[in-house]
Amino acid sequence: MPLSIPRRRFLIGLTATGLAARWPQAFAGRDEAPITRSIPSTGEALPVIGMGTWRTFNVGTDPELLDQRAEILELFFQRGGRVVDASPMYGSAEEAVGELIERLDRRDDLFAATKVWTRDETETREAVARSEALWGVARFDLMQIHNLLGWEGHLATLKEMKAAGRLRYIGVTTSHGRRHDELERIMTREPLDFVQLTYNIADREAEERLLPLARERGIAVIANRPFQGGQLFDRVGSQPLPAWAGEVGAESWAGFFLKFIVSHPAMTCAIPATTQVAHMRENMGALYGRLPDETQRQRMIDHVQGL
Amino acid sequence: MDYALGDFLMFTPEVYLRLFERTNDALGSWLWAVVAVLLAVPVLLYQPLSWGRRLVPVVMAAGWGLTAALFMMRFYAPINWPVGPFGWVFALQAGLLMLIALRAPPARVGLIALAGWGVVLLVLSWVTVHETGTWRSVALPGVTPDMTAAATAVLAMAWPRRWRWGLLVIPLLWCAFSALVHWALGLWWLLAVPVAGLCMVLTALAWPDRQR
Repeated sequence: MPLSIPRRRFLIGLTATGLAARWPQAFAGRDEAPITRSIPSTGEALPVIGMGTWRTFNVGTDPELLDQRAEILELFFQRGGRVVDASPMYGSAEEAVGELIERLDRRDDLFAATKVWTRDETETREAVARSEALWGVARFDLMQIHNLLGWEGHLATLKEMKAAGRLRYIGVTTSHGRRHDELERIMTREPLDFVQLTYNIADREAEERLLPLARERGIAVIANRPFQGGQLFDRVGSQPLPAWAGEVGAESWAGFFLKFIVSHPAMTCAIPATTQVAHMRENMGALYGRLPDETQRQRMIDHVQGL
Repeated sequence: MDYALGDFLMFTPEVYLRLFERTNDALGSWLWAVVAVLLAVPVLLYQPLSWGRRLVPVVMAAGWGLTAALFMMRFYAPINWPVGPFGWVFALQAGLLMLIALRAPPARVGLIALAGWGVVLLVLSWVTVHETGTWRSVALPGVTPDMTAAATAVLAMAWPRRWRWGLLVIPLLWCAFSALVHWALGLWWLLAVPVAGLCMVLTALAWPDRQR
């Protein structure tokens, strides 16, 4: 039976959908704008909550799971997200993101960030071209060197590509707190736009040298593993949020952990990954509302350490 | 901060468990043909005619080939890159079984081996069903890799010991790899399948030759 919708209601619905897509704060149930941070090298503003794809978007060609991930991605954009981060290391994640971005027609809203992941330092351009084809983008907003693998050769080529307008921003990544000394040397010497490193309320080693250095050198910072690979949720278990969570702008544990990360003055963006629509909703809640100040951040640390 | 085994896996348990359902869906009604062939294997092994028993390694080779092409290469390799090379190794095992089919039929087997076959088929096949809650994810030998390796270990006992080493190196390697994957994914029930496969391989390697 054909579905009968009055023309007027259909047009109102269509308009609302379009508005929700373009002005997410109006449909976020709040009247404030998304929290953004500027990329130091250009001043371009980015929403502080992005989306990672490690493990979560490697779904192969499974049509059922691709449909479900499309829901997650659509909600991410509706709530004002822009930065999507992937890597060739993540199996079919780049392919899935490319297919879904096209399906959702969200190319204009996307800040596309991926990585070069090959030991062969002469293969940078081919690696970038492969990722461009998978994502279906003409050029990446951000190209990073995955876990510093072959970074010297890759970085030289990425700098050339950026100078030629083939890339907008370049950076390097680490995870799990590995190779921080080497990362520090690279940050000191090289003209990077971004670094990506592990930072969360339980893993705060980056606060000692890397985050101050990023501020000093004008380098944007992306935080990976914001929930410590899910361990932070295991740690809090079924315990309720502290009564004062509203004072730091947190409505869920996900929001609590993310607000802690993005309230660090050196931080540009955190990239939580999820396979659940409900979790994406919680993550994107951290894009709005107040941020904790320094005293409140210490209170948050003390609370989590006491659990 | 340090790496855990799970950090080296790029997919979630949800995606992995879907592989079983998707493989069975891709086979469609051919799945019933697989079931019929599996039921025929113990009958072939029990009957006294050598030509009938010679069909068994041919059936096993077809199972390794089907597992390589469908489960491994088409569905699993895109989410877990080491599985791509393993797919070719599975094809190699199929070739090895065809060679054995030409050289020597398996011995006629007794009730112990048939009971082993029954355990493989009836118990281990349903572990994925227990994990997912749907019978559509049933894991059959000749279709899914752990079950194919475990079933091969049981059937290998029908050959002399000197042949078994050649037959069981690949199942041994696969079961070890698969056990690590299940461990890293935290799929504790499903971990029983490759662990059972490893036990069956080791038992088959130690099992004495039958008196012909």
